[in-house]
Amino acid sequence: MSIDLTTEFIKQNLWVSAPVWSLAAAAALVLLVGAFRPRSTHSLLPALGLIGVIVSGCVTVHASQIATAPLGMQSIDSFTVVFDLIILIATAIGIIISSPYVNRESLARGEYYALMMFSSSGAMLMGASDNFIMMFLGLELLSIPLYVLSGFRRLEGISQEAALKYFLLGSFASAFFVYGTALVFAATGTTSIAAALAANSGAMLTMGVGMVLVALGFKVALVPFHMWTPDVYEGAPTSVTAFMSVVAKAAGFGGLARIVAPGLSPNWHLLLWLLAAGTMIWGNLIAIPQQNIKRLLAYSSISHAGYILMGLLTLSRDSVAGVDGMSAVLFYLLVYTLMNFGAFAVVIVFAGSGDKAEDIDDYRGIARRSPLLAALMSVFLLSLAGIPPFAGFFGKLFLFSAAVQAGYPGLAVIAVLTSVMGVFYYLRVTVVMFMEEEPASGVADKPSVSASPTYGFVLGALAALVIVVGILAAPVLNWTAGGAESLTAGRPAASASVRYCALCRLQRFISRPFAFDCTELRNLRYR
Amino acid sequence: MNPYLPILFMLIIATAFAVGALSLAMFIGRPKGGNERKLAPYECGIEPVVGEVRERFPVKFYLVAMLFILFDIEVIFLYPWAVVFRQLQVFGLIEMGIFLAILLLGYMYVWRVGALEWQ
Amino acid sequence: MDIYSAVPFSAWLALSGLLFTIGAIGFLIRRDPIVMFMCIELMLNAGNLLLVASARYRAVMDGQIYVFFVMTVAAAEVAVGLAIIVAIFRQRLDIDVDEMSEMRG
Repeated sequence: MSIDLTTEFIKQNLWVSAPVWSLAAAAALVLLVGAFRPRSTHSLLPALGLIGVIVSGCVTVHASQIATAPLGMQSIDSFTVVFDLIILIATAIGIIISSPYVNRESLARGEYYALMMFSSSGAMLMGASDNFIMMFLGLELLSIPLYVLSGFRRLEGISQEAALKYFLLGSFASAFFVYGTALVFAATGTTSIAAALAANSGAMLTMGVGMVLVALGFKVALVPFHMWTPDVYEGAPTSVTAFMSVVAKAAGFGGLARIVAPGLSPNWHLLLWLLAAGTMIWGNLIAIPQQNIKRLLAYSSISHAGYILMGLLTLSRDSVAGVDGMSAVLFYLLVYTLMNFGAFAVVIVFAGSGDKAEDIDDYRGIARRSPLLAALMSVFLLSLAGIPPFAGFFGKLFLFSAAVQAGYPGLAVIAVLTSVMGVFYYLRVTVVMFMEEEPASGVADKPSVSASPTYGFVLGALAALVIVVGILAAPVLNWTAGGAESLTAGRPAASASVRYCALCRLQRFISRPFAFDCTELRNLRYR
Repeated sequence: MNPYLPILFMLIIATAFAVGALSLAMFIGRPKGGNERKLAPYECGIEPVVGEVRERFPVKFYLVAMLFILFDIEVIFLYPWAVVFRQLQVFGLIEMGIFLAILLLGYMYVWRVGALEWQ
Repeated sequence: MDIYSAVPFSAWLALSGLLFTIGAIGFLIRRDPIVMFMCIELMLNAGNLLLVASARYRAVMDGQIYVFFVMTVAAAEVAVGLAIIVAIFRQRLDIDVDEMSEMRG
């Protein structure tokens, strides 16, 4: 037995896995500094974490230029780079938003930031994995820190309850993942995702893939695997909820994309179709009567998972539809990161010390006391609802047109109708903030809610980004299209009688005032 | 020879041993009366614990047990490495060094936050 | 004749499927978090068994490697899970998931 251990081979291995281990190493550093200098938790650790995230981003971009050869376990293609950068942006925002919050709630411990970063490295591993073993490791590296984080308010009942529920149901899903991949391995004799899915299908393979999809559907909170979401989102510390709603969801979709991209057997498409439709309908429907703002956002995040899954479905078609759909998915993930973090950050500021005011009733007439905050909240909520000119609108537009393009008009109709439902409950919060009077009792003694400098900066930046990404949707979509391209490399090409590229036309339309040239993108699409 | 034969033998021997040991104890070890000392629970040379026998364990035991499981289970990665140690040469040695260094970092963390202190 | 040719692969498959089902049903009907967690371990080990068996029958080592990772990850999960349960126990002195229902909706 000989093992090929050339220096080149080792170097390639190191670079392919560089995004993950660089962030994990930074996390370990934060953990140790937190343990050895417990007093530094308030300012030094978040700064250190941010530096780690930035370094990891640079390493990711650099590694993608060096490592090209797929090694079978994980790959660093253009999808990985775009996906990783989205995750890293989310992690950076998560760290910044957390730092005043954990100080206020006296949760500041070194472990907090370290766990967050470990979780992100797991998310990055999921999006990069070509092999079920790697995906399992990514899934667990993502989930286990999140179990701890959601129980971080150790002395409070609902935080503990959230941690226990998330832990039990999360491990249940992990067990499904393990058994599903075991069945796939038993059926095909390989743990490589592409090779296993290319094998002739049989009952065992079908069952295995089904169980894997259940596990990932749990992670991204698809109906009917969403039951844990509202409770966990409500009970977890708000900064963790924000982080979890973005990163865990993105990670799950990264994993799903890696499984759907090599060509899932067509029978699954109907199931995914039903899951997407059910998630959009149910998530939006149940969000309407919610009274707690965190639960409202939880159900809203469920419905957004439905929209994203709809975009993912396009991967089942030819490469043009796939690029359209996946670039829309990545775009949406980025936009969702910005607007969801923004909304949760406002929730943190409004809730005040001890997270007291989290009911929608507490928001009544709050615009009078702090008009700026209420306006910012409205920006994020309107963007979530998909109202132009905010980025959320373009995210939805790209997803919907990609779905139509790929031949899922029915799904797109459901998506549009459910978005209208979404507008209702997002607007309700805005109406409560602006139109209704504050309850008479104790108006006088309530000071105006003011954000700390950090939150002022973060909220301003996020709101600006939500608007700017909306205006500059075309170049951002171009960037994500580059990422989508590597995923669809294996798909059948579009037929010669070139299909009309709806997205590109849209893009041209949007970018006309800015004289943005999208020839490059068009070339990419029709290559 | 049937491959299950050893298992059958093992079952027979195990049953015979259990039955034999118990019946032997019944015959030659039958307690003849007893005094207070003899009926007291045996506690390995120390004063017997008074009161409820099903006492709760201090939660610290659990912490130590948990740490033990974690560090113990990581060792299974050493076994496959030991099998192909020669083929992997220096590379394998360095990799395993890195792996152990990571474990050591975890140990340092555990030590530093005081998880190993009994009080 | 060794044990692998005497026992058909379907037997291992059936055993692991049975273990997984017992674990899944146990998880769904029991209300003690520790027992529920043990059921999850049973499900994980059912997966391990299937992986090891198919690795042996197909003579592909990937399954064995996978099992190593599953075992270590399961240990990490045990640690975290028990830590959560102990934290709750210290607070309430009683654990039953049906009583964990402060949040509804």
